[in-house]
Amino acid sequence: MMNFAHIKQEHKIKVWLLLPLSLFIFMPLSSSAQSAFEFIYNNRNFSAVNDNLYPEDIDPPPTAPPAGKRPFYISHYGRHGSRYLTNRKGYELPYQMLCKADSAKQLTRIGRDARTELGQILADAEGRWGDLTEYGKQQQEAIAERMMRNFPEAFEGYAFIDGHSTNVPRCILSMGAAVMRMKMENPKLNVTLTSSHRDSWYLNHQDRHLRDSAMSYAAQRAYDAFSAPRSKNARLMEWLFVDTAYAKREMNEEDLNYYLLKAALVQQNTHMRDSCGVLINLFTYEDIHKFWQKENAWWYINYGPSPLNGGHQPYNQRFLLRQIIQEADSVIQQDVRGATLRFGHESVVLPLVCLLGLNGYNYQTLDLETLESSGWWACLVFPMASNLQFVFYRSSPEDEDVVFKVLLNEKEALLPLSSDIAPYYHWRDFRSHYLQMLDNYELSLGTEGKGVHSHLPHHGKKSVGTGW
Amino acid sequence: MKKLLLVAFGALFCLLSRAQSAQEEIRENILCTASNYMAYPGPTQQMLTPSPDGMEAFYISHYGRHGSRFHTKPSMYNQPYNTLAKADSLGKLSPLGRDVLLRLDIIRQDADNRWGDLTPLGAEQHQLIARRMIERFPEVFEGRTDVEARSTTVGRCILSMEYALMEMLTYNPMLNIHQDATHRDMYYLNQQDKELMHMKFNKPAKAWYSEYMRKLNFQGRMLQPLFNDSTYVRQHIKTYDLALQLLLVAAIMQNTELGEMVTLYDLFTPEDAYILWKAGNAYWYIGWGAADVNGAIQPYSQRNLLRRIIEDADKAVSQPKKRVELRFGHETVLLPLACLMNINGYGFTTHDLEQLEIRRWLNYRICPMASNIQLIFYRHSVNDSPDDVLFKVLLNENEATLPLPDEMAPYYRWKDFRKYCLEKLDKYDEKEMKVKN
Repeated sequence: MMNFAHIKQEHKIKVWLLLPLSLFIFMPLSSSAQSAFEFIYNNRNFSAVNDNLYPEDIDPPPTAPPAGKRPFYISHYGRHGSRYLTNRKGYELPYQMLCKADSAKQLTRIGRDARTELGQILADAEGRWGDLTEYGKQQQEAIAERMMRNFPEAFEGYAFIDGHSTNVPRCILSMGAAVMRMKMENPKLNVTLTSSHRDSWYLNHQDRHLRDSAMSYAAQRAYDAFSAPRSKNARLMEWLFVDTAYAKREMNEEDLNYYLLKAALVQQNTHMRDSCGVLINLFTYEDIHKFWQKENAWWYINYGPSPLNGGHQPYNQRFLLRQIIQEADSVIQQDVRGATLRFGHESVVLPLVCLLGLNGYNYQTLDLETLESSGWWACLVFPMASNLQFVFYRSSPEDEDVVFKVLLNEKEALLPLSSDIAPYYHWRDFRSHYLQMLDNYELSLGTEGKGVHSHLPHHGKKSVGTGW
Repeated sequence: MKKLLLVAFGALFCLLSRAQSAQEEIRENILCTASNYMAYPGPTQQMLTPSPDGMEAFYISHYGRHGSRFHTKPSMYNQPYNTLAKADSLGKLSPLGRDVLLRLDIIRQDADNRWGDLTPLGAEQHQLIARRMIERFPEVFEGRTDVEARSTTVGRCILSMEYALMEMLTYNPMLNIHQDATHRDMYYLNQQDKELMHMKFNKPAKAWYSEYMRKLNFQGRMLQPLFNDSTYVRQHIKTYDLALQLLLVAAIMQNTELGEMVTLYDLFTPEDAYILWKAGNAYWYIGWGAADVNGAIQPYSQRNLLRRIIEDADKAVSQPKKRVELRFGHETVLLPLACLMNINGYGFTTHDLEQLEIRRWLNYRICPMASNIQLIFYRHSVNDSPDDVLFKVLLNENEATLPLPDEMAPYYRWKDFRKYCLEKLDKYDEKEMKVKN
């Protein structure tokens, strides 16, 4: 007999779940004044979304902490640095299309140049799928160095560094690059490094229930409608192929358009950026802008707070948030200083930022067309090496009013919490608000939902989207 | 001539009198029966031979196994647990058996989701090895020496590398460190030759091993006290399998923090453990050593690595800059490499498995956790011809011998060893999988 009880319950949940996020004060999203097109016009690489480089324009003047408070602990989650594309398919698919056309003498001169460059890219990446690049290491080193320079009190003497990474080599190597730089600055640091499936439940949790419900019927329809006018590229086909009728018949225009541009944009992360130039020049600024819009909408639906699928995808990172809170609570109890460094993926950073409602990224809309104008730009959240740092301050280990600020990619960020000392917040306010929010969500899941956060070693590998 | 013979005889006598038999070693220290799961014992040689006259170390080439770890598969813990749990459900366990079941449960929970993870002891092993490397050869680690570190893509290897490098930075923050872990390097860091793999336990090897096992005649009387029904044991328990499974869990415990509180070694007499170890040692020899029975070719599985070591060294000896090349991987690489290089004569071929102990082919000496091979290169000055470069090999930080003229031992001419290795490698026919005459 079919049991419909769970459907009813799910329906109930949806109403419920919108509440915690929408109860937030909506923060103004930071970039609403400028259009993404302007950014792209200035720098085409800006459109790579999750393949974006870590911004180099750090160093905003920091806001002074409340009088007498000094930093003593940093709790961090960082994405690995710049990497190669994670799998061959992304290059091979368009490459094979171009090769097929070439062997049928259907490529134009431009098409042949594109084929050659893509072949070079493919050869360069062979055996390095997903590897951290030199730029990636440099990003991590620079971030670690700034962390120590900006908050030296937290890293004095035998301060502890508790490093945790997912099991993915580029994350472990990112951690290595960061702590190595820290050791250079202060060889006394007491460093422990861990990379264990045991930490996967919070370092890289992808909730099967949430993941499977991300592309709901409503979400898929909205995404299809949004991407339809942004997926084809007749001009590109004319440039590449001698006979457009042949191309129409034999080629998948959408795939070619998407993968060629993606291949071009990824190169900013590798040494190939110095020698590539053909592929990116196949695309107009408008093409690139459309690509960015599509990707942005995809990430909004799959990892953002989109009401199209119930608005609770960010809760995927509820275990991470709890862990951050618990570990901070533990450190606060002690007379110690140091940092917890966690290394993982953009598919964690983005939903965590949305869950926190940082800088207004808890923005909810049914209309994907408004994402750009409202400033919900995923690319600003999770470029390569993107990171969140919770920096904790107190006047002494006895100080009961611990305050903190959050840095998103090393810039002070705002939480949807009232504070008399913003961008600093009272830790007790933060923990009570967010623990309540997590409790509400978990209670709303009932017994059915509790089963889904199984800590199986491979739970993170299924059903993750196009990311990492 | 007489004098020479006397000296040689004296040296041999000295060696023999100092060398314990494996059985004695095991009686003294049952941890040796852990074979490749033995925690790194550290160097037994405290003082190294001084540098050759007027020469200075300038290059170190290294291959190291990751440090202490948990077992890589849950089945390693679950097999003995399940066997005992089933017996328990039938009321067939003695109080000791139930106690062991409880211990296994604690152990497997401790290991849960940490399969293959580096343990704190494993981290410490690599820190200490790095520190000793610097203390013994400080001249190589001066100033802005290049340290090129490569690891397989396995987490415990990368972390081992990180710990080693951090220790080096603590000593000298100026070191110019470059590290990587990429599939691109796997062809030499962790070469897996499928064809050779199939040959390991081919029919003759299997038959030979079975025959050896039959001769070892393991009775498994140690298992009886775990059960209250000897008929049940006879009918349902594969004694050798269960005893080995228990020994392997006992073995891994020395690598974990829990091992300080829980042991399974109380179940084994040194004699039981010795026989089980013998079976394991023979298994490793057949699978990774130059055993006669499967063609004496298994060590060639690491031909890419040896060629790479030679190429890297050729580059380093032709350059004025000091350099350290660190590689991190696995015992299934280190052991055949040691045999291929014929370190301490480990590359010997025999059809008599008793020779293993006589000739000190002891897996726990060669490839425990964090085991490592270090090649230390010496020259007078940067103007030396590469032909004049001397080097020595350390296996697990003890000076080792090579199958070359030994008037300068433990130092050897790099060009001699290079020639020896390349000739050996050139003789190997990859397609035919045999050594050409």
